[in-house]
Amino acid sequence: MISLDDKVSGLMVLFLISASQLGVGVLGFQSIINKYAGHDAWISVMIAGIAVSGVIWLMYQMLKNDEKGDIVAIHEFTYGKWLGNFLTTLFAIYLLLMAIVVLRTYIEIIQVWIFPHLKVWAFLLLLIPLFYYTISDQFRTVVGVCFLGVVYPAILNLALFFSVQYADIDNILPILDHTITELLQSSSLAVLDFMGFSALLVFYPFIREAGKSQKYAHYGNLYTTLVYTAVCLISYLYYNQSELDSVIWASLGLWKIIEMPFLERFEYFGIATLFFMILPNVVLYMWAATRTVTRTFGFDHKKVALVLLGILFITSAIFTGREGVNLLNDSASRIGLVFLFIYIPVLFVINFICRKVRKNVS
Amino acid sequence: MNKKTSQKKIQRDFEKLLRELKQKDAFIHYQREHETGPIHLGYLKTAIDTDKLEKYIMPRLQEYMYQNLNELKDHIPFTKTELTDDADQIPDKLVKSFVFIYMANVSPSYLLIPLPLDEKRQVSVPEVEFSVVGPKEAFVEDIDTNLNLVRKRLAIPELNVKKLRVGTITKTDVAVVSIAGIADEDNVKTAVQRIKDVDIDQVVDSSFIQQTIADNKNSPFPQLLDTERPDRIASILVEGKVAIFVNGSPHVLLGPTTLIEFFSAFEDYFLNWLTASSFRLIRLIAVFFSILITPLYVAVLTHHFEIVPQTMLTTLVNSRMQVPFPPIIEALVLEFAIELLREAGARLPTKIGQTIGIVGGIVIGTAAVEAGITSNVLLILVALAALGSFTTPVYKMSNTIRLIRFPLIIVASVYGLIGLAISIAYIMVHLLRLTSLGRPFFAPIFPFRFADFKDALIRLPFSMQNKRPFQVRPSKVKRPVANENDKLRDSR
Repeated sequence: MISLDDKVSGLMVLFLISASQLGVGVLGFQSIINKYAGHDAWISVMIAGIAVSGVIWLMYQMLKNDEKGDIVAIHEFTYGKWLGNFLTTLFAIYLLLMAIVVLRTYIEIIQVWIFPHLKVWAFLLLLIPLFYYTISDQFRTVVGVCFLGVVYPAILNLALFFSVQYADIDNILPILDHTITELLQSSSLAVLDFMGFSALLVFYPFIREAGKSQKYAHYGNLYTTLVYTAVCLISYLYYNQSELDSVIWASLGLWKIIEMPFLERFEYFGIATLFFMILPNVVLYMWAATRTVTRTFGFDHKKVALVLLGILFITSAIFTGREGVNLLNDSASRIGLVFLFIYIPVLFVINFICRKVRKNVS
Repeated sequence: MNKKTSQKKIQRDFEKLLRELKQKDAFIHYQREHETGPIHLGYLKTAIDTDKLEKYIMPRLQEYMYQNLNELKDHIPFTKTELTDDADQIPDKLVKSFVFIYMANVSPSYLLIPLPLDEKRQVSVPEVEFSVVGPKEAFVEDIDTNLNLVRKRLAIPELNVKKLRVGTITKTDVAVVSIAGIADEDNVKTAVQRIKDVDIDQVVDSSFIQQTIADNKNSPFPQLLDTERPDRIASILVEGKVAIFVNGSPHVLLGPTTLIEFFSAFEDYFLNWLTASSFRLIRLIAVFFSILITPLYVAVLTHHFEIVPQTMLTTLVNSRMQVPFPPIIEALVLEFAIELLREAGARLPTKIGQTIGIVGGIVIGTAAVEAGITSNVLLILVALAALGSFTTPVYKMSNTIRLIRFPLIIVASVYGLIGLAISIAYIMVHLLRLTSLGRPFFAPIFPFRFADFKDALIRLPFSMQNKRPFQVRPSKVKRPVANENDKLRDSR
């Protein structure tokens, strides 16, 4: 069904998971997650990372049991055809929504920092063909984009260390000054930045010896956790908590202080480089959504891609202004939270029971 | 009785043939009486080597005793002679450098002797891929000479040469060469199959094949490497790749190749690995510089001059003070001027071309700055970018590099650095999708193959080149290293 040519090695799961998790979130999550845990919120990031690892484990347990091993097969097995297809469609819509959120948020950053008068639809006309070009062919291309989307922007991580010279250790002392409840509350906010990996449920059959790739998925998540924790820690060392309340994109503030003999205002360069982190996000979601719809209803992959990209274009062009983008972000994160931490465990349990029961019957 | 009528028919056919052939200017015809009857000899003047005819055929025709053409044939010191009764194929054979001898009343009645004119260029020094050290032989137009140049270096029975004919009219000889037991059979099959599938009336040069068997024909990137160095072909065949020779072309194609291979000069292997790696890195940096510097200038000066530090901004502003155009026009004008100079230099004979280059470059450049049409900073950048594109060893790739700069400049002027990032992403995705003979073109970067980096961005010492590149899926992966004893001590 899926040709061997189009399958990728297990190691690529690391990049697929990381690429889907790291995105626009990295620019401003610091000032969101400190709502409950304050200067200890960087610990919450690590807790969130561990929780996500748990969800990845659950997903792998389900995926391993099915030969075709993707969400379409699991849904059909668990709920039967009609209900299964309905839930799969909802999942596809969720993926599409994630793509819209990421893209729209990135465009908003561009509007705020670089081009205040950017015409969103015109800008999208430049982007949509690129997305189509990436997702319309083999999955390999998407993986390639994800791979480069992790490796290349990794240089941005180094840029963060510029601000270490202005760090004030008092900003994060005393460590563990908050209750466990507060830490966990902050973790529930931090989890939002890890959410992209649900595409795993779709690309699983495209991995060579997929069963053995689980460790790479956890490594990928580990890398993401490390990046987020480092960014968070450095931000908290640099800003004090009251300052953080007044900035939206704390990471951009960290870049701002970087000066080189040929480059002032590093954040312009940073935002441009960030595109290589946004691209894997969007194309992976869009590819996964397209693939899900194609698998469920048996339409042509390219046509579905065109239709979904059309929806992406229209919705991204409609939602404008800070309020619109915030609304999108909030609803997406609520849906995501429910999906990952309520729906996936429930699905796991039902799936588990179904398997046991049918095994006994046969 | 039957034999007699058929002899009469042959005689009639021959007379008809002779009448037709005599219409042609180049047709030469001799007739001579012999004890069995008249003997005719005919050929086309421009198609054959007349020296050989005078020297070897004519004397034998007169001196020896023979009763039929079979006996005569034994006296003639040429192989590939043919005997026939069929008059219809004679005109075709004449064009292909044959001489015919007709003898009446015997069967077979035609003897065909090939006397091709061997006109070929001497093997000379490589001009496109010149190297200071290393072998100084380059391919010529003749396919047999070219194959011989490679055989000389690879005198092994495993050298597989598969000959094909391409071109409905030109019927050009094409040879697919690989080393059995090292090259992947699939790669050879893909190459042979694609060449067989080519439907074209003429193949004048290997680039015709290059374009018709390319994986993506609409890509600006060449997907097969071409080289004029027999030493390079030999070396790459040993790596497990496939070479495609085309008669009439001094350039031989190689596949499957990768993007990075286009930036490795063969001279890299003649220098020690540190020097070679540094030069290769310089070449790669030059390529990035060449592609990005003008778009960056346009992006920064159109949209984000705040990212330029104050001291540098003063220089930029001073140089641009007189210029009445926006950066995009300024850049396009200059890039166009450089392309103009290059194109003029390429079309003109070498000596005039050089003059044009110097006069055009210096005079126009200086005048343009003085007249205030362009800023001298941009002039420097554009000239450096052009220089950078010329460091690419493969001519076709350096053309591509100059070409893809233009869309980047335009997008950069509209969307600044973001636009630049997006256009780079377009190129990146395109490269990810490209394949060469069905193998990923962007390897070893993606699919990521750490082991293949030993001969990609840098060239590590021979002692570490102990595995053939995974890209070509060689049948035999391991290869002997330079010197087992020196393995730890490394290269000289």
